[in-house]
Amino acid sequence: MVEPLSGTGQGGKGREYQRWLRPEGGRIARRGQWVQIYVKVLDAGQRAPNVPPETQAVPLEMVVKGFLQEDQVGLGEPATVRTLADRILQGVLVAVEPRYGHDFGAPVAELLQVGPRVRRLLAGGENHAC
Amino acid sequence: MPAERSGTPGTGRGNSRPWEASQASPGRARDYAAVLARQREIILRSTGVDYAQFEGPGLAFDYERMMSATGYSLPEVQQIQGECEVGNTPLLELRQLTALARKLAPAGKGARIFLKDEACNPSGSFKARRAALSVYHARTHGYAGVVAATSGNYGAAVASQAARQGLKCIVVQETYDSRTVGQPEIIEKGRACEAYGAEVLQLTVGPELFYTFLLVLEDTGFFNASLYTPFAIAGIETLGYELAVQTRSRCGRFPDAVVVTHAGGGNVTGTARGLRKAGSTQTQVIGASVDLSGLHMASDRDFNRKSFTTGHTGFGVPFAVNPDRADVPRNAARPLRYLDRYVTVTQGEVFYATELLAQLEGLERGPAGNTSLAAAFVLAQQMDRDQIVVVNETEYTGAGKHPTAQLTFARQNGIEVRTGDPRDNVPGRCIVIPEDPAQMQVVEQDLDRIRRSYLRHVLGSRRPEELERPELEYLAEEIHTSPGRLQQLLGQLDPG
Repeated sequence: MVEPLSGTGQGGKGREYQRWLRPEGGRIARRGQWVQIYVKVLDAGQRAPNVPPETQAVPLEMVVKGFLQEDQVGLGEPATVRTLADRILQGVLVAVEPRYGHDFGAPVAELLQVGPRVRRLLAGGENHAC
Repeated sequence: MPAERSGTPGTGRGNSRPWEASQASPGRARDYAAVLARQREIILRSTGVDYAQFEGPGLAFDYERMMSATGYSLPEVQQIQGECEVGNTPLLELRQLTALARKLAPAGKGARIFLKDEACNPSGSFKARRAALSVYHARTHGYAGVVAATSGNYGAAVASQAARQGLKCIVVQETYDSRTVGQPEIIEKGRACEAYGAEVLQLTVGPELFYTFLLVLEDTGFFNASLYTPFAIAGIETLGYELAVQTRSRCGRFPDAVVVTHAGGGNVTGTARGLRKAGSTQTQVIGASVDLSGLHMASDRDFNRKSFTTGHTGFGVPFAVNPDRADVPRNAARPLRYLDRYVTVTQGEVFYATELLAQLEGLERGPAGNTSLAAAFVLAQQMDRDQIVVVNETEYTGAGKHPTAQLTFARQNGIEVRTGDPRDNVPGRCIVIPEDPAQMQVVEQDLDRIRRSYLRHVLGSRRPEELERPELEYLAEEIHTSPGRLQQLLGQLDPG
């Protein structure tokens, strides 16, 4: 039994899911692969009344990962996943084996100066007035 | 929201919970207004706490009865956390930081600085203490899983404890802006949740995350592992208790001040309650938040213009003024009851303090948890040399959750990063890293102004002179002040 979704990301006025497509991991997912799906939760303009205009102007969207349940799905097509909490969820396939892209960033010159300076201070090389 | 197609609707087994339907309710309207209208029923079923029993008289409610009737005693909490390998973290003396503070301080000033290394908890933060209790409570009350709405360390903490205790876990995060750009610190926390086996629902900016959260609770019948239940707050009491006992055993006295990073209020509340239970009643409880004034927390544009996703004034002030804006009807975290002082620091100063901790103490932690450290470094310089200030937490560091990651991201989002005077810091526009430790400062927040805002909010349309005696007693406790001072503050409210 499938409950009606409040938004599938497809149909209606929107193809908002296209902004979430990440083709790096491939354009086709097969059964059992770790994938990410997209769901539009609320349409732009249907947001809570107390949110600022820039938020009101965009939809509330969601992504979640899980194991693909269909034999084969292409990016942008409806897909079903079994999540790590063992739930079955439906949405639009936006990424296959999505990678974690976060990192430690670039060296920050403003921080690199801190250690040498305070070590000099502590060693008594500078007499510091408060 | 996606629907449960099959899976495990209503798997919370619990004959002990007569309010629970035997299965998720098919055919119930899933639109925003309909779900919000079922909020009370969903929260009741997902927490097992009937908050209505603590209400009254008038605008009051019985806070201590709520804490004792639905919470756990300190020995119970200690036992549960012991079984979960949570707590009993080391208290570290920051000798180099103390020496540096003394170099900058006037003669006779410069308190010893200690740090409670909460990063040693299983999930890398003090939030493991809250999570251990919430998950224990869920497990022993027959829930099959837990759900938490959080973009912070609490998600990983709940996921970690759920893994240990054999429950399913779902974390609902505010992660992305509408450009699909994720905040690196939150991306990392989401990764940690998945590493511990949790389903992570990652949303774009907006308070309607609560709608998704309610639907998940309703679909699954899982426990609401809210940050703000009495269980979650009782879990933090051990933190205050331990640091008081550790300080006394090591230094022969209780701390003179404890600095607590303040956001939703749980850290302040639990730590302060624990200090009192240890007998450390003279210790000043000082809240510290990162100043993010001017940035709107529900703004799709401002979301990625901040480098701190917690510990900031965007939570700290609203949760002090209106603690009951939480995901439960009565928040067990009530910071105004416990704060003796509240200060803010800038993002640049917290990054600087994070660098000091790494460079001088060999401890790579934070950054967000180092908000209290940045404040303590300044406050120590105002205190006497024989006094003791304790920073009550650290948190793990990692990819995304690191000063270089956050400052790189800030630059990518058009924020200017430079060295200079931290007073030139402008949230969302400019992060100024101090050139010199003497430039570090705290900005004192006027607690009376926050108390007046609280009173204005809680009174609503009621006039001060209409308040009954039990309501006045309640309000005096709520804002940590004497009845006489309460009357003065009430007299200062704008008429009408």
